Amino acid sequence: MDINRNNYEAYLLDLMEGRLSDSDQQKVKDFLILNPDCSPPVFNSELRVLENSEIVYSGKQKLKKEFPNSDSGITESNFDLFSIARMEGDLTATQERDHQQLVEGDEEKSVNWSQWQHTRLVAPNVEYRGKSRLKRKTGLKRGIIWLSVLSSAAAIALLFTLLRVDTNVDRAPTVVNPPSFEGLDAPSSGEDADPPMLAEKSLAIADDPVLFSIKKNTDGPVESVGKGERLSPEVTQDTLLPVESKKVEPRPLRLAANKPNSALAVHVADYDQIKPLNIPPTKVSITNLSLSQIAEIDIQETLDAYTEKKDISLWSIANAGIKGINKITGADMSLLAARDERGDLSGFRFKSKRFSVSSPIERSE
Amino acid sequence: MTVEEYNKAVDKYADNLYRFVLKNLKDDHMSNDIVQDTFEKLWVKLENVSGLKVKTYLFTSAYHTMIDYIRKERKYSDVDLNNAYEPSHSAHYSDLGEILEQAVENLPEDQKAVVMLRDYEGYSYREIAEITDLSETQVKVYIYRARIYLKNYIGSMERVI
Repeated sequence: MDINRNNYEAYLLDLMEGRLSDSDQQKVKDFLILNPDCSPPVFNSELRVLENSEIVYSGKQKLKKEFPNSDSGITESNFDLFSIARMEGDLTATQERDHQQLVEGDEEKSVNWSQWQHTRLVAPNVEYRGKSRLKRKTGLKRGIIWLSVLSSAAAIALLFTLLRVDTNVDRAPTVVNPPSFEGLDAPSSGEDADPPMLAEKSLAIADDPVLFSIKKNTDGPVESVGKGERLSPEVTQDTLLPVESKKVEPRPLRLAANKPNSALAVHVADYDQIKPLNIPPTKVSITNLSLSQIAEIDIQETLDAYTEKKDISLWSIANAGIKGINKITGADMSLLAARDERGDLSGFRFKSKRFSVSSPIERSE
Repeated sequence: MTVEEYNKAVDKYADNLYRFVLKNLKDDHMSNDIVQDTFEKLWVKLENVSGLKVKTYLFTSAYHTMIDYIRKERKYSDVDLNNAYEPSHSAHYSDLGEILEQAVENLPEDQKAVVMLRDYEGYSYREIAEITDLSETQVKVYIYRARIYLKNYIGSMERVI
């Protein structure tokens, strides 16, 4: 401890608050004897601290607020709190009975209780007129989406069925009576002659060598037009070459849907035969719905929910799907139906800018 | 929550929600906006809101939007809040309902909303606490204070009348 005139105040404070040892206290006192001018005016070696006063506030009880609980008893002072608690339903049956007795026995309390009861708000009848705007019709919207998915799926399924080639079938085609096509998108009469229907599911037509007419185009890609389709003015007769039927090899049209490693093969005319294009594998995603979800859909139930036409057919769905595909892709495809004498479907014809395919429907008894 | 449940919620709670906001704000246009905004929020969170909790969700969302609006409006207005809490003896009232309505108008916003949720919608202390983000004790205190103010207001006006 080195007390001097520069630091003696700190030691004085320690001395007053009792933080110095006996020897240090003695050193401070010795310093003050040698330096009497450093001694504080009120310092007399006794500690000066403020004593806790014993002053009591007498109004504490009035300030206290205690919400009535199940153990509380009603008194004159807590009558108002009990009244509110009774209004709020917070009292027990016993407390409520006590409160009622107090009210009935005192006119002033009775008036008081009546006023408390008037503080309860009565809900006015207010009608919000914008409810119809708040409501959502997403159910219908979702239904339409489901319907579109179904339509597309049905269209693809029909196409798949129509274009499926069975190579084991006898190639000799049997021309049957050309049925009349009455699809929803049927072409105008005279503009498009219907090709003869074949009695087998094959694209190869041996007896009719002009199934596909090929337009030579030295610059651009080869374009094919179906039989009977109107040719563009620049196509002259000498630019048309007959297709030799023996060179036409039927090839299956494969459709890929959500299968990674599957290629989408399409057919194009290449002068004298049809070859598949080497298109790199492409994932075809119909929607973000999984196939399992689509498979779970009850088609008729879905249709019933959104149309009153209960007997809507798969044919109509397929046609709607093709329309949808046309709208999305800008294609010009159509699906036509052939009907027999009884009005039953007897065949299909799928027609696009590139090719036209017909197929009868095999009916099992 | 399904779309059907959502539409049922519109039928069932839009009136109550509108009344709650309108009685607090006294502004038809803003009340409309808040109701629409509230149901829009519900629509966005449709799959996260249980059908059983939809009413609480609606009132919670509307309450907070309303309080935010009130605070924003108060910031730009020069309302003398000290005088607003005092009973106005110069006003003319024809019945007790009008007196009570005027008294409710004078309540602080938090007390007013809490009392309306209690009386109009019949919510419990716990439910009101959930909606307003207050503790149950705070809710109870607000209701008690509001009742005392309303009773004193009614008493003083009855004497005047």
